[in-house]
Amino acid sequence: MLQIRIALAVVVCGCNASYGTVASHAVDSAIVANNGTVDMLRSIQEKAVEHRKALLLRIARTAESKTSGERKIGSASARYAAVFDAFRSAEAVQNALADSLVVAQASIEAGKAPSMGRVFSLYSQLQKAYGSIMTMMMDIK
Amino acid sequence: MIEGLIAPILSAASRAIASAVKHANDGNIDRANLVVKKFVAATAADLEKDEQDALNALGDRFVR
Repeated sequence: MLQIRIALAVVVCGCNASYGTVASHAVDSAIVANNGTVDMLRSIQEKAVEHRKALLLRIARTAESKTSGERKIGSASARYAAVFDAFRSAEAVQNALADSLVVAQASIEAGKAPSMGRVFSLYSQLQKAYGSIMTMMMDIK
Repeated sequence: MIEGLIAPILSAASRAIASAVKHANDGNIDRANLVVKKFVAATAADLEKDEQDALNALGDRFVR
């Protein structure tokens, strides 16, 4: 994550080309960073789904009784519910970011300065949501 | 266990993103093919089936 933040800082601060070129590179880079984060969220969500499924089936195979198994399956599902709620929160932020990026892309194509403040604010929110998901998943045994 | 599964993804993905952002920042990118991706979270219905499968497997074990 540090690498992504550094890369974005380079996008914002390190360019020395003309403003229009800098702005278009900034939008391109923000889209690439967004797309990479989306790929990471997808991968981690797939792992979470696989891990939850394996856990539930393991409980079903090893439970000492039907009642105990049902209770443990319900409990395990509840632990994961918070994680998937966090994925849905991340989805809402990411959708807003995607919409902002499309607007920024259109501004560049129209020869106008894109509004990058909202893009970076939303990207920052997405990173926080992503960090929250990671923390929750690390806590699940 | 989860940490062990995720760490390799994070490491490789972070490097790939940083490299791609640098590539874009250098202007070496095909803008015409640059599509904004969206993340779709799993729904409760997506997850329900796995829970039901586990309950069915449990039921099969304790069938009279």
